[in-house]
Amino acid sequence: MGELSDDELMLLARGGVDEAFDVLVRRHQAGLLKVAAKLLGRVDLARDAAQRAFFEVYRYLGQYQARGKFRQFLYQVLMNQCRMVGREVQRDKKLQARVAAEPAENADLPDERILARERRRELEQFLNKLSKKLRVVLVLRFAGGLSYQEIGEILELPVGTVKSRLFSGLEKLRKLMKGKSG
Amino acid sequence: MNAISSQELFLYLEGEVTKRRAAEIDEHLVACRSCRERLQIRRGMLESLAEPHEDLAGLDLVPGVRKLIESGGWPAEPRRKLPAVSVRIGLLVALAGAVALWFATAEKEEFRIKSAGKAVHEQDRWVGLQAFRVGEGEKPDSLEGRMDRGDYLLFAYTNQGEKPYPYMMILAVDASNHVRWFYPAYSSERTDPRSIPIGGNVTGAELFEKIRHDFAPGPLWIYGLFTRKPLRVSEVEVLLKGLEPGGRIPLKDSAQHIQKTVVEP
Repeated sequence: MGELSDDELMLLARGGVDEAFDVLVRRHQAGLLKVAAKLLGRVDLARDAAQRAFFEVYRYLGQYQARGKFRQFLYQVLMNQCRMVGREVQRDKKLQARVAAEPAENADLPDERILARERRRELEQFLNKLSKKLRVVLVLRFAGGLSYQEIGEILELPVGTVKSRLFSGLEKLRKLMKGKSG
Repeated sequence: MNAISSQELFLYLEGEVTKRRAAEIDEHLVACRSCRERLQIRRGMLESLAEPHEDLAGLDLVPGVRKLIESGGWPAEPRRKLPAVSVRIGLLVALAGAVALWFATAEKEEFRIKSAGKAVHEQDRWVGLQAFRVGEGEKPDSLEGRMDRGDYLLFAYTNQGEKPYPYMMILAVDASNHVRWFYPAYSSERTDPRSIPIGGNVTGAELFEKIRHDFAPGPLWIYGLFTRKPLRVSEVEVLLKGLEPGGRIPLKDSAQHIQKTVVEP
């Protein structure tokens, strides 16, 4: 079943083959989690957003049109879920306080993992300083590995705008990082 | 060659420069240590952006997703209590809104029925189709009397009543009786797809896909066709032949929402 296309799996799932939907989840979960974690900054929130996204896709099985655009559809749903999770976190001040006080949990980690974690956290801090429209494009491109065309379809933007946001975002991020090191 | 600009280094890393320019940059990089270092910094940046959160390794979403599917969804957030005064104001606003909505809906319904030139069909009361036009780079806007030729269309449907319809088709017919299909997808004449299954007891259920057709300028009728059995595209196209523009498709056990718009060049 792993050799079937996303569209074929969706049609099988619509026909009641549960296993087909599980294959779809396993095929795309890593990419979704990576994007959601970069946007939301926390693994537990990323897991919630990605699970909800898959659940929403399941709810729309009946209306899904097989046109070879499953990835775009899935990431569009994920963007909505990330927005919703983000809003819920902002509403819940206590949760926000917990985010700020996220423990370092470095005690039992080898040096290289500690360094990798610190590098990632630093980068995420810089990413958060970018405007949302630049951040989303950078995350979809580099964490999600999506093409310019796919990003354009997900965000409903012309490819030219995707490219200009991407390079503007990279340049701003580089300046922020340079400012920190210099 | 002068130092390569920062933006061009990113373009080079993304494979977005021409082959000829890439060869020039390769040549320059061999000779220029400063640009090599600048390239390394940018390459490291892209790698860090792609680096996953270390705690994501081995995470499997299938059990959680299955649990959500079995339980029927995400637990709703607890409702917050509002002060009594706010509740009263809220009720008044809601009442005023409902009255306004009733008038607006009644007016639109009347217009739709008159424009189609047909009698009221009881079954049509329980279904509805909302169409939204989306211009390039714009946000969706409710489709009213006009749309631009290049607009995408998005849809949401309502399917209520004691016995909601299990199948739906969305199509558009122009003044020359040319038919364009939105749902089901119909891009090849070799296929003859059927109606899509839909949910019952839903209001404003969104169909996520944004679809564009190259319509001829002029009047256009958009049909939401709700049926008990799945129909094939070819069957509906036969029924549409010889039908007056915007007329009701002669299908006994069906409900239809017909909306007229005008495509502008």
